Amino acid sequence: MIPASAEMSRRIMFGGLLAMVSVTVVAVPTSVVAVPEPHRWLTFTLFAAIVGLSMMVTHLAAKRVKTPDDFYTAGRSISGMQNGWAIAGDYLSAASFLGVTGLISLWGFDGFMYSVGWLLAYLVVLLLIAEPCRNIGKYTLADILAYRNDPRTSRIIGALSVMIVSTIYLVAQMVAGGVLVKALVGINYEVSVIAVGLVMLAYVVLGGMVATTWVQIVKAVLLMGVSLIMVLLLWHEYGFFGDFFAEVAGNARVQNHVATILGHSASDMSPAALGQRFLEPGLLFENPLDQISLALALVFGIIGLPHILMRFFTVPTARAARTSVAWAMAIIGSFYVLTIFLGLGAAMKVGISTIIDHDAGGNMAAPLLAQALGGGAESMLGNFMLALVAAAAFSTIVAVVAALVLAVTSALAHDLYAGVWRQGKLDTKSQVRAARLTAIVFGVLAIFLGMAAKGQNVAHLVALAFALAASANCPCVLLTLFWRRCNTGGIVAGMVVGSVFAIGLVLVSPNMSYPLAIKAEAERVLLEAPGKLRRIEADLASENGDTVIEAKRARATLGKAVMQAKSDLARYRNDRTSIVGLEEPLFKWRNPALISLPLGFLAVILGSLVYHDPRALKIWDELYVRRHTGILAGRLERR
Amino acid sequence: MTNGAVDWAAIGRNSRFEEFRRRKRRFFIALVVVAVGGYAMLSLGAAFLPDLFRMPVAGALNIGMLFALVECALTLIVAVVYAGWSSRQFDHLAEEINREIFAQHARSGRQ
Repeated sequence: MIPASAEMSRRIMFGGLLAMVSVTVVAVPTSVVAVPEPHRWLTFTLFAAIVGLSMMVTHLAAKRVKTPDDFYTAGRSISGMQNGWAIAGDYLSAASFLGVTGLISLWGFDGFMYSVGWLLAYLVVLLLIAEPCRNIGKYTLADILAYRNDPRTSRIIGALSVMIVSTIYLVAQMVAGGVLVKALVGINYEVSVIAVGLVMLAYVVLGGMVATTWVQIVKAVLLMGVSLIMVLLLWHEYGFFGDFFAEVAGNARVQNHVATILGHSASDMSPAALGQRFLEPGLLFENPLDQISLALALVFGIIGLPHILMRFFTVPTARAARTSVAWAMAIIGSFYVLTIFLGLGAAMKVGISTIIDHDAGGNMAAPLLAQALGGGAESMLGNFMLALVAAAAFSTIVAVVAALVLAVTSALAHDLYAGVWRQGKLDTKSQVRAARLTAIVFGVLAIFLGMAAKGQNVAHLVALAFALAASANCPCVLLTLFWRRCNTGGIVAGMVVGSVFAIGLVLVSPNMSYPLAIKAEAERVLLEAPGKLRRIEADLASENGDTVIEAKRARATLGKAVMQAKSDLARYRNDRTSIVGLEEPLFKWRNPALISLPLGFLAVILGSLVYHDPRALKIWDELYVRRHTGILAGRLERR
Repeated sequence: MTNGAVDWAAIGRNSRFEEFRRRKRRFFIALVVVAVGGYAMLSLGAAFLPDLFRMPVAGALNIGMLFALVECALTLIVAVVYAGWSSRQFDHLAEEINREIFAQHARSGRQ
């Protein structure tokens, strides 16, 4: 059924590469898997129910928001368990739900390994920062820096960095969200972006951190619930655990797929051996250094992502901070166990060729599986399941965007306006008013940015946001908290060097568009199109119903590819170089963190050693004790 | 409230605080070894010992798959051990030291 050609395997390889970049970060599907018209009301009813529920939470939250403490940290009233769900919610973005499931459906064991490999590393990072951040921090990342470094300088540089990182990440999320909602619901891109933006604005402006946290919790529960239901349905159909894996190994679709990937070396393997191979390592070949670089950016970027850092300021005690990490890991760990079954289930139930036809990176595996489990595209239940997945994805995007807008708001209103400009002499009421006003202005700006960036490839923005967070913010925060000699000179140097290298390396990396390569690819597509069309037409005449359905789908995909190739050729007709004037990437990796992160640390160390700052050294003793004991956390202002 | 009155450096040198901090560090290093070790073993094993990872355990389930599943469980165990242990072992110590600091602060406030 699947043509065992080199072209096919190249396509899968390419999809895999794309997925590597997008996994856990953004999912930008290339085709629509929406609920068809007669069942469309299902989607809207579910969306309305979820938005209604979160609005109720926001309404209740809004009454409690009176002080900046309420607005930025939910009055430190979030329990460990609640915060754990919210952290898990931040981590389990739409993309990790869609991306990881897709990776496993395409690569079996390797897909799973690449997605959970650094789960434990991530845990260590959380353990490393959760307690100190809770003990030392107040509202923002810059608050931690300003604790012992020069307050004015560190607030300005910290707030700038937070704004840059969050805005870049926000644009990527807005674009990915717009595309995703468009694909899953079938409404147009601008409407999707405005819908995401307006719901987000309501949460942030009215409910601040209380609402942002609760929306994250609601979404995490929804996502886990949907995944669990799907896995239970899969177990019901294919059997539990051992039986399930046996079914995967014995599945003809999986066996054909593995034969395609392996090519010649598969010729003397039995079907059973091919199926088993899907559950073994080594199907996916990657540039390992680029992988390590990505893992570094993801693991250390978490420390530097302001909207994640803010989560630790919301709990009342160090104990609650630790409990929240334990809950988050429990939820994320079990989620990953579920994704194995979802991914392998999609490979069997939906079929890998269908998944790739919808999206080369496999991002549509989960929605397609949901629809198939409910009884297919024609059935009521199938479309209900699809609508449920769409609703989970929608609330996920809104929740992440809300957290990002809150992070930027705190940097602008708390660090720059209240801290630097008004020098901390603002009463609580004015502080909350300033925060709300900032959130409105920035939220509206975010909607416009999302619309302006329509059609952009956002993968490079995401690579950039994580690399910046890992290379600039993370060394400054970590060394301020853990190194006695760190000072103002160090964090200025670290922020500048980390940012310059992260941005610079991404600008000359394969993330940018290179007209020559795009034109060559477009010409190849156009050259190969007639031959492919002949094969598809032969399939269309087939007796086998499945083959005809596959062929129709392939024809639609080919048509799209040809259109894309033509528009690419027209768009880049007179171009030879990328926006920084390169014909091909100077730096071969997509992820710069492996280089920019050590440089960021080095800059903080050298800057601190060169600069003389008695205040930072004097306050170290106090920070050291308070970091360990949590005395007076969040209450005592340093002057 | 000003906090200049507290002698933070003295608390930092305090033998009880030192002990508290040492125990905490030892505990943390053990966790890092387990966590990073698990990560390293999974990725290195998949890269260099594919034959070992292929060995069947039960039916279609092989060592590699089992290991990856165990890693998920290990994550949970490390997190729970950390949260439970720290809360039992370290919180009351931190609390005592906090009380000491408050007492010191009150004394210096009266002068």
